[in-house]
Amino acid sequence: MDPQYVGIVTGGPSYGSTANSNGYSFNDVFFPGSTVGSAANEALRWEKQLQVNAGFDMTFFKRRFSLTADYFQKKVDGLLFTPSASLYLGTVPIPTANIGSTKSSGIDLTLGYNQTIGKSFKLNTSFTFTTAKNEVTATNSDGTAKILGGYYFNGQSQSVTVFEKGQTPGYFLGYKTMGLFQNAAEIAAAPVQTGAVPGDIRFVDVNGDGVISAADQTKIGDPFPDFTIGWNLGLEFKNFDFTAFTYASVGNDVYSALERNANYSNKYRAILARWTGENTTNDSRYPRYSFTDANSNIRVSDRYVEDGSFIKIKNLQLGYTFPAKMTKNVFSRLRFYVQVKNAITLTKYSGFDPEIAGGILDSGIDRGAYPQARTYSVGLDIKL
Amino acid sequence: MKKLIIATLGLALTATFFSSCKKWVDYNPHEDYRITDLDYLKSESDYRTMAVSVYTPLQWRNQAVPVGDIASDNAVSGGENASDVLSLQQIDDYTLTPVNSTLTELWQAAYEGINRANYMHQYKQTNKAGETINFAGKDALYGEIYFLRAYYYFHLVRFFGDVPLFTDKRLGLSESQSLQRAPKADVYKQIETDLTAAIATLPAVQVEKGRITKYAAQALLGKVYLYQSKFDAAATVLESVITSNAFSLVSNFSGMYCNRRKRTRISFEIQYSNTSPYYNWGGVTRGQGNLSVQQCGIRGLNGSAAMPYAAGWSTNLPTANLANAYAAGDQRKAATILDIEAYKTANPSFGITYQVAPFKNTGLYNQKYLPRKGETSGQVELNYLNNFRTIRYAEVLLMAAEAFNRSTSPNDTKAQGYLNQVRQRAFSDNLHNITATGATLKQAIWDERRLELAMEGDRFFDLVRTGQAATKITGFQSGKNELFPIPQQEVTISGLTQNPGY
Repeated sequence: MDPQYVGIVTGGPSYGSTANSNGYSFNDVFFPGSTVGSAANEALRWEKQLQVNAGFDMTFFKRRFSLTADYFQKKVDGLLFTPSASLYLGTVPIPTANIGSTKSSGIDLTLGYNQTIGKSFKLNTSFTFTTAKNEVTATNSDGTAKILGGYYFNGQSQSVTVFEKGQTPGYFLGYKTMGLFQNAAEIAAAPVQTGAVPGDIRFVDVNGDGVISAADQTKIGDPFPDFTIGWNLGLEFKNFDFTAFTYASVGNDVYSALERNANYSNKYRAILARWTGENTTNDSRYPRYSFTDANSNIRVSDRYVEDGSFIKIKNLQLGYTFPAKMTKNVFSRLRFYVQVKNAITLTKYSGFDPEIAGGILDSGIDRGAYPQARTYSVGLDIKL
Repeated sequence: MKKLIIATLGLALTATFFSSCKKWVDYNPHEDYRITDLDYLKSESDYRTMAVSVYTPLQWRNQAVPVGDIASDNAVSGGENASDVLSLQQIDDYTLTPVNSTLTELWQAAYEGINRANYMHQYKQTNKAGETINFAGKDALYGEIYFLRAYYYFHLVRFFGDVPLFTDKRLGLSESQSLQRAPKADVYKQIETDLTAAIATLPAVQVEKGRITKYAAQALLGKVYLYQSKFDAAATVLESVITSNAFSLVSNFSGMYCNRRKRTRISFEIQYSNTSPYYNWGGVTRGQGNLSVQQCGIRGLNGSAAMPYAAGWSTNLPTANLANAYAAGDQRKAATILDIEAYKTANPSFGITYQVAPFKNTGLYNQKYLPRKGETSGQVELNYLNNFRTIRYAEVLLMAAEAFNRSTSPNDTKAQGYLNQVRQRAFSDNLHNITATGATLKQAIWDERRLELAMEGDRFFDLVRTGQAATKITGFQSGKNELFPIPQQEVTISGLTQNPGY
């Protein structure tokens, strides 16, 4: 972009639009104003992606087994995104910029097996295993830039995720907890934590300076799974066929940003297990309940981070193909089937659905995403 | 024994390169904007229109006034419950952390004002195209701009202490994360420079009421001197406002807050209006209306058509401590504080019903800015017309009184004279004049500031400035709470240092 060049906005008050009003009233008479309406990015360039795959396919045991293995590496250079900028730049919208570079590398393995047993039974199945490592390899010239995201509201706007060199893109940044303060003596003996009373969360003094402050925030989670597994199963017996697809994700963290934390609002039943007196619980997810929160128990911390690992049976389908002799006068093929999508989710995650889609800084932030619907369907495949 | 048959063995190497032949992205801002900065500041009208927008962030900083009282012994945050207006609750309770949406907004809006002023400053001599645009009144227009820049920096320095300081241009994306906090003394020096420049060029009277005048700049400079304990300089500049005889006290104190007679004897007001109705709930302080008026209203208020007040959100409630500070006969009490139960009892014909403030109820409301029927428009909550009385003549008198009392060669007679002008209006008699001198007089002037300026957003800063905060404010920690925390984003993203204790 030509650095010499930025847009100017002029005009009246914005009647309900999202644009800022730039005018002012003198003695009840409105005067339109004008101001710089866009910030120039002097060095914007295209994002570059470089993907390398190396792998092989092979079959063995009379072609009953097949194995596909792929090593992949994807580098994104000059990732285009809206960066976080210093607030002292004012309120002009921040333009898209090349915020940095990322690298993900990993392997994809697919093992397949198929066999026909006797005349009428066919089996084919395959497992896919994927694991990848994701890392931010560069940000600004000195590598100090941090981009914040994953904003949510629980009384105030909070930011969870960070894009930072040497880390997983969009890792969760917050306070580590270590149980609850059981009594005043524990508070007195602990690093200074303003506002804490018994029953409040005890935060970890990560930097060891004797005070719990913003400098103690550290990595508390990672939205990327350690590995994922997909399992396809296909069975055919005489005129019946059955397919199933199961998917598992292991090691992905979810930040549960569901709770609004308003007084006089509904709470999860888990609040019944909250701290109610010395030694009732030491679980930092369940501090004392209070309308006022001088300790800021609601701050971004690992109390909201959960293991989002899951196994999902994504698809089940059972079909029956009518014998050709029955239908040959009308159809070339007629198949009847019943299907269930999103049949079962097995997870320890407490929210609705641990599989949370999102952009680079929103992955794994569960703001109450609507869960994927389970659908039952019955159908006919007709070929004329 | 060749059971293992390798049927295929392939090695695939694919490299994809999505890249244009040009290194930089071609973008012409004319695609998105009709006017770009190369096309602008080509005429007097361009300069004048752009100068208007330097005023705009004054309105955005609406919450600075409630914060100045809520943080002090004058008012409590109130609201619907402990989780309503959380950022104000934390300021009230002294549980505030660097994550505070209200303070972040005040910080960012002040810097937007500074950047807007800087942009005008940058192209004062020649515009971006290199042309010189001269017109009658250009220097006076820049006087307004320099006043506003000084005002924004003064607010930043009062709230946050040392802050990033830049004056030569509007910062762009490449300057993000490039600054550190400048010492408070440097910021004050720049404020003085700007105000001195403004005083030299501003007119005594503006055609459009509400624009900055020379007197407003002198009054602000006097205040800035007081904050630095430069009492001799403050006395000189403040006395020049008084001896100009441009102002006198309105005889009826409460009349000053009657919005039908806005800005008569006032030297600087932040302007609001209900003539441009606005309804964007996504940016409640971004219209032309005064949000804080709606905030301080009485919840669920109903009554006859003759009952003058409109309902609001029971935020920023005056304390009993403030109400009790007024002596009997002080007409300012009724003009500052509305005791709703007393009012209801005194006016049975209004048939008043209301909801008792559900949180931190004091039974008292901010009468100076209480929402009144017929003073808003459109989306009623967002369009109240009440101006903030930012610097009033009474404050000029009180500041002059303090300056003369604390000068290197004090003149307590003068100080008493100015103080007693204010008191004579308040009590409508001479029986309440102060005759004390020295330190007793100083304390009397400070106490008078509270009574006169209550609910106008100055109390917290006065208490800090005069060293009284720790004894007057519950929860105030010396060495920490003199300043608000730097917004966490500025620490995380920009690498600014945090204020002590946060």
